Amino acid sequence: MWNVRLCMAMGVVWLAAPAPAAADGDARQAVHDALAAQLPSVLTETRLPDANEPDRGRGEQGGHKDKDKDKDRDRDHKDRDHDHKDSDRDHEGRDHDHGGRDHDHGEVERGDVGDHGEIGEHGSGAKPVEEEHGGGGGQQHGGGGSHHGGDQEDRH
Amino acid sequence: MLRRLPVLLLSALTLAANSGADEHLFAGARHFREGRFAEALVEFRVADKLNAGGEAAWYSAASLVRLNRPEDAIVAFTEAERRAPAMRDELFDYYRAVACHEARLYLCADRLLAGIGDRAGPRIRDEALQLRRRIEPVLRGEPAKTAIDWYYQRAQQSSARPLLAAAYLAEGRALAERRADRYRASEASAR
Repeated sequence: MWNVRLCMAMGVVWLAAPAPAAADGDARQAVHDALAAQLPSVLTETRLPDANEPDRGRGEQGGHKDKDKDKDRDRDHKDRDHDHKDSDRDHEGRDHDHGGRDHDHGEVERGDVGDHGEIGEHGSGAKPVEEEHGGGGGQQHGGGGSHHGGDQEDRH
Repeated sequence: MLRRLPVLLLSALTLAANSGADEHLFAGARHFREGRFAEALVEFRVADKLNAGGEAAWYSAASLVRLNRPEDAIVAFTEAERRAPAMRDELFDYYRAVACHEARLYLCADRLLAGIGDRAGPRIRDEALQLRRRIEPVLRGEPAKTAIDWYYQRAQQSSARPLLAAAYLAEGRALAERRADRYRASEASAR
């Protein structure tokens, strides 16, 4: 009897992770390759700040009024125009659009695990980013970020 | 034999969790490569929850850089380094340096970039060199008092986020040390 149970347990181990070490290394390498392929570049001018210019500070991330940032924002608008044509581009543009603005920040953070439906319940925030990822397809389709194409949803 | 059964089952569950984490790492990598950084961040955070190793915390931090959330990235990198120091490498240092630059922590950025050598590969090394050249004039000469004031103000404004506040404070103090009169340097040490 014990032998049967032991065999069953070993079977579970084998089925759960046929080659864990290799898979782990592969996943790590895949992420590293992706990170190396998408190196960031600086978006703001390089200049020491000045306490007498309150608006020059980043304030709450991205809440500054740098000329450079204004340019970035212009670029964002162009990106956004692009977005309507191509939903993949849409995401690139939107990432720029975030510009670190605070209202965007919580979207990913809140209930991000739950969004997947992997180990928790779906986040109820029903914010655009969450909706895209949400395990609850109803919200994805119902909420439907105004400029998001359906193919992102289809992917999930 | 029966005593070993729970151990084996626990091992199986652990391995299954790691395998699940890998799935999310792969998905995150795909999103990241295709420029969907918000989605990549979600995947990496899920992977981080499933695998306590801490490596995915570095990937989340890198995603925050690409999402132009430099202050969040600075905090995330600090936490990632605390949890999984062995994971740190030149690629992460470059991402972190960009986050420091965007948060105006130029000394922080310069310090990280200085450590990026040939091992990083020619592309990252060249990018690091370029960014250092861009920062170098800003750090030349004595910083203005009002610049130092700004960093202390930001530290105060960030008091709810101690890691971020510490980063601003350290920058302000390091700049103060560059002045002959060490303007407010002792004030920073006292905090």
